[in-house]
Amino acid sequence: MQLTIFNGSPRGKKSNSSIIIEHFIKGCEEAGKVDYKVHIVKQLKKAEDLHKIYKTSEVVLVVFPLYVDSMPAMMKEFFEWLEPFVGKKGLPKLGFIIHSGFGEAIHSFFLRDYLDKIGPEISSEYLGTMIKPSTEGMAIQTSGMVKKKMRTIRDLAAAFIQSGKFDPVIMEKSAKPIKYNAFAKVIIRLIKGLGFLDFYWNYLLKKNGAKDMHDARPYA
Amino acid sequence: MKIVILNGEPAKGKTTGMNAALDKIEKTLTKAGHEVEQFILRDMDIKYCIGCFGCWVKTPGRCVIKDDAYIPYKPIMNSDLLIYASPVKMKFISSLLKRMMDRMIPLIHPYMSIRDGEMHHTERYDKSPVIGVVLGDATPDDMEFIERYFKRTALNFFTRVGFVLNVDNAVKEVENAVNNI
Repeated sequence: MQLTIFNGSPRGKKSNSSIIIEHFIKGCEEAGKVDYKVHIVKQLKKAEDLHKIYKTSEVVLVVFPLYVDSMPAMMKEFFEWLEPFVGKKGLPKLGFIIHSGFGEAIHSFFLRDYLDKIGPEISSEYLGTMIKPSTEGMAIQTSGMVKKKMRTIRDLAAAFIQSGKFDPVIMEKSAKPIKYNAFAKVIIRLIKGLGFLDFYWNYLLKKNGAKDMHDARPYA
Repeated sequence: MKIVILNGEPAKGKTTGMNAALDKIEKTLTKAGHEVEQFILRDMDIKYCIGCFGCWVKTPGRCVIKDDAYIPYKPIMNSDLLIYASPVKMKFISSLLKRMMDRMIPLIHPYMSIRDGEMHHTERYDKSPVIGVVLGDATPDDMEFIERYFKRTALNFFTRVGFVLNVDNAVKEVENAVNNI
């Protein structure tokens, strides 16, 4: 199988999308043989650059983060560039993995529904969209924590190599929790009250000497 | 009422009717006594948000990218109504308008709290303008789908959606829609 992967993160190579792609490839390689090439969306300069890659691909996987409740603007441009392919024949199979810093999958539901609408129009077969919540901060997590978090990504990849499909059961498992349950919310409120919920952001603010300005309102 | 319009039509001129309609909307609302400011995003230097979170952890509340995206921030935060306007392209708002929206995260906090039963960012400012939406080249399905998007976004920006209008009717309906907010 020849797999074309687009990394649609505005952060490019140094991104959580890259980590997800790395684990997807590992999952593929554990299950069989795959030839792949990774393209960075932010490096595509014009629509023709994308067209050339897209129309010669067999299977396309696009991985990108949630930005302001939907796709990053450069991914919206990516879809606008693909408009000439709508309804055309001979297109690749197409699947998406979307991820976000939110712990609840519900934040990504609108974007998944968008991809469910657009995916079938620009592909010969729409494989589906996997949601992966809680991906922010993987760069400062231990490799064991990241490996555990990426388990469903490797499982999706392995099943894909064997069946040529995105497994709906694995996708459903990944998109959990949809919302935190009542017990989790009590814990979150407790952690928030103790100041631990904001630890990651406060750590970065302190590191940058900006903690005192955290509540700045320069445009009031 | 103070009103800001973000014109996310990427094409100049009258190709979709969006530019002409927004100019008429601006005039109609100004004539009705509102204070209206329109930002034509295609004429501004607005770079992509790169997810560096500098606006949250280095220069809180200010984006670290040096371009024009900051110009509408103050008018927006001091407005009562923010109108997002865009033609529908590939079943969603234009990448131009989305580029500006991605650059609006300095206006909220990185911190999280539970609201409406979900985790959301916390507010940086005391109030946010009500959202209005004007869409061009939109089917009824597009209108409904994109309204759903702005309702989600409103949750993270501490506000609500006041109206979603099709550009074909917007000039006629906008004054009434604004009065009903």
